[in-house]
Amino acid sequence: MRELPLAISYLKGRPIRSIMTILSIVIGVMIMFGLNGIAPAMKEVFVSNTQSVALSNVDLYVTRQDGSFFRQEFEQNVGAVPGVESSAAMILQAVNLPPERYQTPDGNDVSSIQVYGVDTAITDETYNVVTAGGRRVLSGRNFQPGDAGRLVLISEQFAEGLGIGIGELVELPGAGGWLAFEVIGLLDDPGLLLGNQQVFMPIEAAQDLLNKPNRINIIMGRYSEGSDARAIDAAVQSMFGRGYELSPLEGGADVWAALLEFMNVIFTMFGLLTLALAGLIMFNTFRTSVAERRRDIGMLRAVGAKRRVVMRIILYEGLILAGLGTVIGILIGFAFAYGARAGLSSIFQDLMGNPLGQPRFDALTYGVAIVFGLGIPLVSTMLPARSASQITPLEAMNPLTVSQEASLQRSRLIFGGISLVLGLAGLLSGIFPLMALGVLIFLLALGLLGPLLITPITSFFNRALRLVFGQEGTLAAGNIARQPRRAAIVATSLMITLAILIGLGGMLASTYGGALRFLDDSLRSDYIMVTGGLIVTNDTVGAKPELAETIRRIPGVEDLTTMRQIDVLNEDRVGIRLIGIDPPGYARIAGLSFLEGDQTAYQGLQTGNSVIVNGRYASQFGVDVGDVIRLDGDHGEVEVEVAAIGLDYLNIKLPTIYMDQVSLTREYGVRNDVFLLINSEPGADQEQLEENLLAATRPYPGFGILSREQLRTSQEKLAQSGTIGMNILLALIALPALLGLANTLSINVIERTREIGMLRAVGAKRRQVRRMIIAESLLLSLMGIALGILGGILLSVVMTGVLEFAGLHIPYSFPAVGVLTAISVGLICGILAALVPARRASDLQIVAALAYE
Amino acid sequence: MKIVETDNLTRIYGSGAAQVIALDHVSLHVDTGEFAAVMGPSGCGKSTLLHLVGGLDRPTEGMVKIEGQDLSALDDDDLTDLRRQRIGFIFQFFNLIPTLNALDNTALPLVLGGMKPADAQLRAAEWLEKLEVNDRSTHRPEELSGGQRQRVAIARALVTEPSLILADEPTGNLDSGAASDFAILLRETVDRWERSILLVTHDERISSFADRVLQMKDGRITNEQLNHEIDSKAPAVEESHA
Repeated sequence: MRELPLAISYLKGRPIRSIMTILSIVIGVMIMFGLNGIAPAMKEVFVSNTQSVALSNVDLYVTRQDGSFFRQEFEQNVGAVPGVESSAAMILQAVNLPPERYQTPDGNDVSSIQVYGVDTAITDETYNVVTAGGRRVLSGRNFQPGDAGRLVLISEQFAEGLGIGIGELVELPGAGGWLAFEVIGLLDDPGLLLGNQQVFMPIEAAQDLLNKPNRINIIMGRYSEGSDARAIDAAVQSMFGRGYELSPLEGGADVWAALLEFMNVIFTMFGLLTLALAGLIMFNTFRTSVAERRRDIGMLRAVGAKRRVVMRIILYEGLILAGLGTVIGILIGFAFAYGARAGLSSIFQDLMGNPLGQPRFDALTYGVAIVFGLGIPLVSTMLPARSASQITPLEAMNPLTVSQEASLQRSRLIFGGISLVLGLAGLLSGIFPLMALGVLIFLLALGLLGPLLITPITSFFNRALRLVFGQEGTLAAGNIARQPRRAAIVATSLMITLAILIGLGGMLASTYGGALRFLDDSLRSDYIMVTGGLIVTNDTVGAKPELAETIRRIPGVEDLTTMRQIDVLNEDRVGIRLIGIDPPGYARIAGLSFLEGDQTAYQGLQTGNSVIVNGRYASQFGVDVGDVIRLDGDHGEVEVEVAAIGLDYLNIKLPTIYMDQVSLTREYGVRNDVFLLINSEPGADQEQLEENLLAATRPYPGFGILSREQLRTSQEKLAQSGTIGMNILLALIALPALLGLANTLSINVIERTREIGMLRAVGAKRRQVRRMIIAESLLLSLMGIALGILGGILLSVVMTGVLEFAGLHIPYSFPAVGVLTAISVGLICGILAALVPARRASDLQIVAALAYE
Repeated sequence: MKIVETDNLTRIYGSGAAQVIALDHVSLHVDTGEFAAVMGPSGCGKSTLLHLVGGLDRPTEGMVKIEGQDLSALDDDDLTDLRRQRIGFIFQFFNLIPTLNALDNTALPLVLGGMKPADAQLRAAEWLEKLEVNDRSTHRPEELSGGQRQRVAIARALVTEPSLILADEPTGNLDSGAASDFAILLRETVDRWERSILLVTHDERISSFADRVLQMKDGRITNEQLNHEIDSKAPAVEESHA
């Protein structure tokens, strides 16, 4: 630990350099920690809120793997299995509530309820999910045999928030509109997550609420004493087959799982990238500082410090900077996460009908931030630390001069050349994975060959520099050429930043532009009626077909079609979405953009033997027109043929199958409409029509109406918000590059202190010295911009290819805006980075500078 | 005429117990066409004197005049202009820009003053020729010998045709042969090109070429003597290279 005071004293002696290095680490850790903190809240909005239930004395559960409902009569089949003493049916379903309608006494919003449908005819207390589940009836009573109708047990806390008591009514949102239930008992507080409440009701009442007549999603059973449990389980599993499992209800079909995992990966990658840039800066800084301290280190060695002591000094410096950067980064990461939540909340409210939850920071989030926040900078410090340990005591005797770097190693040239060739080969292959690899290798090649490119690039820009900056420009160009490797590292970090800016910018522009085009194609109706937000999950109740009938009868409504939806697991246990459409109506009013096949595919859907899949489904599962897909429905396995591949705006990101609504009802019991698409009669009074439509939805909780223009405007706003958010992130990533540039310039100024003193002595004015530093900075920026634009355009092609590969089929848009942004960002970085070093250089005291060693 | 004149020139660093009086009420003058050398032990204040005369630093007390111009009346930009136009500096380590060749190094003060680079290079080439180092004009400092670098440094100091040359330990980095050559060159600068020189050195061989030698100690001038033994006509530069 004796090395620690030396390390601290050196860092204190170079405060600005230390602060800039710490800042670059702070930014990387902040991004990684903050984004991963908000990710769980984002995921929760998408996944089902249905929670698992497991009663202690129940031996056997039968549920569908995706949590969906099945025929109630299956419960008798379980009861008939030898060895099963008794069985019971149950329903458990999360139901989203309209926002701000229900609150607990302490003012917390109840965003959804867990609806338990219990078989009140069963007297066996084992199956009494209220008491067997650990709840106590505080007042009123529990269910009794023979209880039927709209009766509920709710928590005392919930009742207090609603301002009701025993015998009073609570309105709950159902598929047929608001339903009133009588409170017969109040329960203790379950200690559930804020925002969820358990509501118990007779099973028939639950079926009525959800519009799932004669359907359940849980069968419970008990073994007879002395029976062979394994044999019973095997018999039951064999009876039900694939698609069912013998376990309590677990989660559901998470269609968003792959996308949300991808989002998590992207968030972590953003943070890693920023940290990698910080690592690059640290490497550069430490390499230079070791060169700068060559004589001091030689002196240390001369007076008795061993190599490992010298190495430890440098590593301690790195550790201190990394540690401070990580701690501060985590602290600011909290603020970043809460800030991101505030920024995204309204978007989620619009999309999902629910606000975004609070950020959460688990052990993994902390762990990842700490490991990478410390690890990457430390790794960057290792090579300079090793170089420092190789310095001999003789170095203490040598005068310190700013020498030009030795010629570059041949190996750099060879590796760089090979990488360039391989990268180009990949890019030109036309095969997407090779193209992606090709871009990465190409960028690596630019990084390796960077120092070799310094001189030609400097010469290229020299004329322009001389034109603008005169002799100071020539001096600046010479200064850069003197340290090609240092210059190359700074230019490379700027290059990577700008390439990502252009690449991601290009992808975003393509995605949003393309998606909005699909919006115009797929949601062509004059009005769309939605419940909650545009994104619907299995917790969305929807509306009975009666709503559609009511709408049809409204004067001014010319045509209407509905959509139904359920998320299930396919044969590979991957979450997929099934959309039920009325094929003729859908073809008239909405429509898919066909990639393969055409409108004639709709006719096939009505037979129930064929389906249409979207591009995402086709790519993810390698499916083509004519292929057969197997689905597990109510009646066992169903085989359907793919009639076409098409895209629609609402489900572009999820693997989706479009089928006839009759088939969806038959196989999955889905009866409720979640979207209604309405066309008005030509010349109809739109204002009156909208009023009438709104009035029709009032009994149906959470339903709202959007005109086509309102929908487009809201989606454009969403695209803009997403773009702004992404640009903010990209700007944050640009910061380490900016700091790296400023750091390098500061080091350059220090190294040339005596030279700057001489310039001032022979007649250079302060502003001429400042111009020289600014010219250096702009030259480095121009190099980064030139390489960054090249890499960025290639990256944008590949990233759009990622979308194509993922089945999103978005046409490529040249990232013109991204290129202009990159140029602006690069030049602004160049000027900002030079401000402090230029000022310091011009303010140098001439006498002190001349005497500087 | 006095090209340099100081009156009670004082420079104090720090304050209180840490105060250091680097220069203590020094009054001197250098006449036009005179070669004056300042000698003394390390820390006696000779370099500080040079810095104040050259406008590289500001005195705590006292006055400096260059060709009758009081330096205290000038702001930083004007001081810089004065340095560029009327004073030539020669440093101990030459301080040539490593990325510029000899020609561009020599032309540097002219270009900084706003002259077109082509014109500046022409003038620089003339001076390199006078100092017989024009055949190395396209070479960078690392490609020049110590003696050649010293000549380029002198050329840079003379290219703006200054009245006064200030040299701070200019032979500190040279071997004895090169040091003698350099001293002869300086003598020639006075005799042939009619410049005035104020030189700081601890090398008696160099000071022997001066017209007058001032001794300093503890920030004060303690002695002054004229070098009558010096032949006022300098030998030709070619002979010195034999």
